[in-house]
Amino acid sequence: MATSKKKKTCKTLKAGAHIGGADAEKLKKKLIRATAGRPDELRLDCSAATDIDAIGVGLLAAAGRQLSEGGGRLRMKNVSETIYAVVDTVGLGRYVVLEKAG
Amino acid sequence: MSIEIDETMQIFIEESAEHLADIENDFLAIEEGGADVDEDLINKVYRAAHSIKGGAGFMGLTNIQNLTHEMENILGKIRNHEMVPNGEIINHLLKAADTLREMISDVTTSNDVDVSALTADLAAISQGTFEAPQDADSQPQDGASSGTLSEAGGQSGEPDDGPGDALSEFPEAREGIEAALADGKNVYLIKLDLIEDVQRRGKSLMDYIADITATGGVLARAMDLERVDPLSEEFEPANLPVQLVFATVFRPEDIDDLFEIGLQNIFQFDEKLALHPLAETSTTGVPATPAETPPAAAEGPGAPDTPEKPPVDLAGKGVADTSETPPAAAVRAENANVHATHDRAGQAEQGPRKAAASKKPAGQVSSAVEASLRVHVSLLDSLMDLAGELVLGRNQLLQAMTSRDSRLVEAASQRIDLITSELQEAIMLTRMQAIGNVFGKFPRVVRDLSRKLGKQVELVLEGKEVELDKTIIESINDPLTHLVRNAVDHGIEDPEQRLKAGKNAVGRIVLKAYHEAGQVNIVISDDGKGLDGDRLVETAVSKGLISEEQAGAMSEKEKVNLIFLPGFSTAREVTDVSGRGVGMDVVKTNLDKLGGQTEIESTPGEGTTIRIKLPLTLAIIPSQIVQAGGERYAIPQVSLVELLRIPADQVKNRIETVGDAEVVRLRGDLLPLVRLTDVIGVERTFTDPEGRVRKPDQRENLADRRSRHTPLHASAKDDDRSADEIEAHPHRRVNPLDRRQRAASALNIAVVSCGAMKYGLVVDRLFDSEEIVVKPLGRHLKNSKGYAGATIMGDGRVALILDVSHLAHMARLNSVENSERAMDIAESAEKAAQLKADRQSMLIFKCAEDEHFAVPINLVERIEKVEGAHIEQVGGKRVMQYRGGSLPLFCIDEVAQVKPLADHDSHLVIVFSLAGRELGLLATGPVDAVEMAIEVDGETLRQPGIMGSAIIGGHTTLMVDVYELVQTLNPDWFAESEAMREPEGTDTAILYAEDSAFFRSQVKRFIEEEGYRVIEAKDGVVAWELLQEHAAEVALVATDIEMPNMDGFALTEKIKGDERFAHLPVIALTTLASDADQARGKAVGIDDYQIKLDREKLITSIRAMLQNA
Repeated sequence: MATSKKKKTCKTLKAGAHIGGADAEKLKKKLIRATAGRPDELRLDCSAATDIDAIGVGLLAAAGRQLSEGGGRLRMKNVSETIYAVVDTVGLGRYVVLEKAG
Repeated sequence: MSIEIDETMQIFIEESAEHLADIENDFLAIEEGGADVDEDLINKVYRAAHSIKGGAGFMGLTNIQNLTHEMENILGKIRNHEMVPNGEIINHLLKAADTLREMISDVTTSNDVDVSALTADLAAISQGTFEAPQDADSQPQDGASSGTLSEAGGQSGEPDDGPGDALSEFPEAREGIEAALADGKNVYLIKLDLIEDVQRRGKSLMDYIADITATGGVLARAMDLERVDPLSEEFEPANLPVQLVFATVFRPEDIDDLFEIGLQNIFQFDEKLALHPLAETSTTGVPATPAETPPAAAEGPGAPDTPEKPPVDLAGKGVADTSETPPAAAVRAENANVHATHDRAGQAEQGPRKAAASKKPAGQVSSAVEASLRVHVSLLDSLMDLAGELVLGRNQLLQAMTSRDSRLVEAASQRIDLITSELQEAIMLTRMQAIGNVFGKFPRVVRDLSRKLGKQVELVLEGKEVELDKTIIESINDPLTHLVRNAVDHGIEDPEQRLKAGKNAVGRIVLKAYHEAGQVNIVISDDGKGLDGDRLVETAVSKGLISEEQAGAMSEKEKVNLIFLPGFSTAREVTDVSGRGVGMDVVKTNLDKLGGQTEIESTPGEGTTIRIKLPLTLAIIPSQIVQAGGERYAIPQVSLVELLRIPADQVKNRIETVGDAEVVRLRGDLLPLVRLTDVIGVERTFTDPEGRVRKPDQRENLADRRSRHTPLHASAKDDDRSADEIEAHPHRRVNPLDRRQRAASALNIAVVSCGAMKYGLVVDRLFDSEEIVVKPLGRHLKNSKGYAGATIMGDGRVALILDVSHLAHMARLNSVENSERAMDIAESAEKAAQLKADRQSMLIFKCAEDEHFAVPINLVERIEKVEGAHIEQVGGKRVMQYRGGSLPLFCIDEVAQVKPLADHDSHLVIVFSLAGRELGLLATGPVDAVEMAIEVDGETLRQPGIMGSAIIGGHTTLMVDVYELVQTLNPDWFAESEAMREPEGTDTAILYAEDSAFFRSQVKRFIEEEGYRVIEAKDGVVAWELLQEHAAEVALVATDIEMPNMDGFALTEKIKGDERFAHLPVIALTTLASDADQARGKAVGIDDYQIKLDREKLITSIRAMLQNA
């Protein structure tokens, strides 16, 4: 019996230096476009990110929830220690996969 | 924590008051709009509430913050068309606005006010669950979302709540919590919102988290994504609630220093893993007693302990950015309700304690708001300019004084005077406020009251821009409110009644303000049922406020004004709206205190109109300065009608007595007179102008003269009038023997009005009018009725300001219509008297074409006509050939100051017989003979040859004194008569009884000029009394026939019937003596009848009588 395996879709975004802040609008648009296709995984490369604020957390949380409702997930990659401490402490880890840098 | 009013707080108070100023009317407009929501209006109100909330949060005014937060919720839903603003919703919003206003007016205690019930209602309304007033102990709503410890945080701190329940969301944290507790750490459940508590406060999230992680360990965390909108273009995270289980060494009293979210959002685990809100937790971890609980914590959202810490809002979320977008606000509001639930639950336990806490009683309003004014910059600029001008003026004056140049001093003084007036006016303007500030509340008043009473009322406001002094604005609020409420309650009928009466179902009340004659007029009129005067009388009589007798004599206007009587109420039952009977009199009293006048008009079935007049300002008022009892007093110009001075010799004639009141006739009206000294209880004095000496006034009645002797008797020894004074009045025959003509006996009257009543205030002296600064009465005099205040005069002395309304009460001038009543009585009496009054036959003629003259017709021998050519000039005198002889002719203008004889070809000659000779008075026709009761004015136009004037046939007619004319022109004709005169100083006195002042004056003069002394009496009763008093002096009695109290016949009968006086001859003086009168006179003993104005015959008769006696 032949079975077909659905191919996973994956998209990658690169975060700016500040997740949120002045880049919040830009990030939002990227996330909207990226989540519109209901990818299985949306990867956010945080290698350039040095700062995150509550708006950024909110955007990530919204994107993560949206993806999870569609069966996908948001993965933050190359997260710095400081940003990791923030997103982990505030409980974002429930909706977003966090991978530290290094 | 005590709340202090510093500058920032003051600004918040003022701005909040401004926001709330229009909010009431805006709510009413929203209600009226219904489903058709005016978004601009909603946004306006929303912004107002939001601004107040933001400021309150910043100031730590948690109750204000809570309340405005709930209002925002509702307004947000209305704006989003999720809710239609019906009456119930608007009622609650209005109530919230009222409560806000109260709290803002006394911010120091605003946190003590119990707003829990109202807040709960508003929250329920916004959630659509409002049905009935919520119980303070009601279960908190289940607003919990997944990932929160909803129940654990709020329901109770009871140890019976097991750890299992509390940790259901964080099972993994159980071990960590136990371990941390075992380590002696404090473990907390922290509820914070990343957006509210961090982002909007401008904090760095990374630093915030770093601080947290540096001071303890996060044992569990949860983010509530249910409250986060889906990702979209419009996405703007307004809230991001997060809960943390945090273990730290920080003690409960310090933990909020770390998070800065308010203690109501921090819960502590106890040993049994039960959660306690930190608001109730003492350091021992048990629920705190009231004494131990910090006040901030006990009231819910805690206020920061130090000014540095940001305050918290309803949900323990601080507000840093007050310009949040509405959608975010809605989300946050919803989220905040969860916390509010917890707070309310927490507060439920504290309910009794909170309720027992001192709730600010209604009415105790601080003066924080009222102590400030908003003034337009242009006005301040004007004040600055004027201040500069004043400085220049002062410098100018100083320089002028140095130079000692009086002209410069005068110029500088004038300049300073002008600038002072402008400065005063400008300063007054700073205090002026639009009456709309007061009117603005009435739509709400009318709305609420009409709903309560089931009536439909439309309120029309006009003249909202009219400005009044701030003090008056504040003071008229209550009286106007009462009047408006009365109009709704008592005036406007219910719709059914109105329709039956053929009126529109919707009643109409008009509240109007306008300027007129330097005053502000306020009119409150309604088209209701009006006042039933008879019912008012019935009520007043039943309450014993007036007697039935008084009621019977009342006019319609008097009946309507009964509602101003204290204790008056016609309401069938006392309601909280009106009907306690303490309203209208207090209203009137309060308005009177402001210098206002109140009048009421009403037509049954049609409506009532109340008119109020108020001065523009109370601070500086124009006034009339008067003197009484040696002291000066000020009468506010607004109460002053006119000034009246009655010369001394007119006092006796013009002051009449009606009933027991002294009155003066003023242009046909009778004016009651009140002596100021009597009312205020000081010694009566008068200032003798000759020596400027103040002397006691011994007059009993106003019409009496200031003589220690018999008031009606003048003694030549008492008089020292100078000849210069006589010369000063060439056209007035000033008798130096006549004390009545002394200026010191003149009456000074200030005619004042209070409402519809006028009366005359008799004072000693009148000064100039002045603008005075009104000062309050000192504490020693504050209970003194009759005085409205005090002022300091230019010489530094104090003058009391009279309250004319109170003076009227003190003088028992308690009826609006007293003067009219007196007039009615007097008119009736006059009419009755006129039926039997002395009637005089007069011959009317002219000399110039437009001057009318009259002489008693009984003095006229005949009337002839002469051609001009037949008038001859002989020896400087005019004569005509007449009946074989020469008839001397004269004209009135040869003696009196009248126009010369008209230049005609022929003239009339009125022939008289005097001093045994005939002479003719040249006149111009036509002539007429009239018989009427004439009111002769013996003073106004009195001059040599003219005895007075009267209105005859619509013309001012001069009464010719023929005797005086002839005597002046031909004194030698009367030499024989003079020889027969009594020598000076004779003791022979003639008692003369005559009620007519004119005839009394004339005849008395005739007699006195013959050398006799005259004792005059105004009626038979007085004559009888005087006769007994002067029995030894009186040698003859001359009496009028028609007199009040006792006529001439009765007097004669008494005289002839008393053996002491039976010997006295009695001459009856009359204008017309009918045969019947003469017969009656003879019967009672009258010895002779004479015509009053026939001087010659009268004197002849007197001489004959005395000679025979």
